[in-house]
Amino acid sequence: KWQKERDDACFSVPVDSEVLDVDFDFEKNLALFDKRAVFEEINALSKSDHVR
Amino acid sequence: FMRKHLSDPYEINLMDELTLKGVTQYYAFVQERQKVHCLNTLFSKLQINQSIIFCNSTQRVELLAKKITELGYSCYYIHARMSQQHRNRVFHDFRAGLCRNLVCSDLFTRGIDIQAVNVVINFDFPKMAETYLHRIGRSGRFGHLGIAINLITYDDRFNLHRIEQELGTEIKPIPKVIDKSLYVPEFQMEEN
Repeated sequence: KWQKERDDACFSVPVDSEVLDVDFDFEKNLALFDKRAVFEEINALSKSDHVR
Repeated sequence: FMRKHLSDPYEINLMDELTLKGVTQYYAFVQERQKVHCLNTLFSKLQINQSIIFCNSTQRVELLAKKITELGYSCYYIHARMSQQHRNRVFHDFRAGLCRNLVCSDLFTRGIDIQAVNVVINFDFPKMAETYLHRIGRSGRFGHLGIAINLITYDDRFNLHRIEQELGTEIKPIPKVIDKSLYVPEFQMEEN
């Protein structure tokens, strides 16, 4: 069911949608994901697992 | 057999290891619902000679191929639920250059060895490092250049982290302008 929702979200955008007329904003989206901070968080998580 | 018929043979292993050398790897951060938009922009901006686009399920291969066709780009698709004969036919035609884009699931066990493919797109980011290497990696004797672009959602963050660690590689954020000499043959310097 989760997969179905994911597919719907991904493929239900109509191809004549106005969204597609403008370029996808890569920079704006990259700014929403601080890779280094997320990775540090993951590292911290795995370390604390290790201690336990 | 060898000892009987060959005198003093040299043994050479012709199965080259897969390598990420020569492949520049980028990621774009997206939401699931932005993936098609993102792909459409990549198609219009990149100088694609031939491309392979990977999805994580046969269902998604079919849905994406349909979408790409509706967007006005030609594409073939292959996945595991097609007959081997049909798959071979499509792959042969793609290799012969009859179509620019190929959408597929994970069928290649030896990496991609088509010289004309200069762009690989992971529409869905894989879970395993081995899968990533098979999709992006090249066998050593085809050390030609290319780019790989990964569409990354927030849910992919653990896989991204693990795959980078396991392969000892770095996937960088996609720059505003991608240097053509990284993947367009005409822009490449003479190779040594």
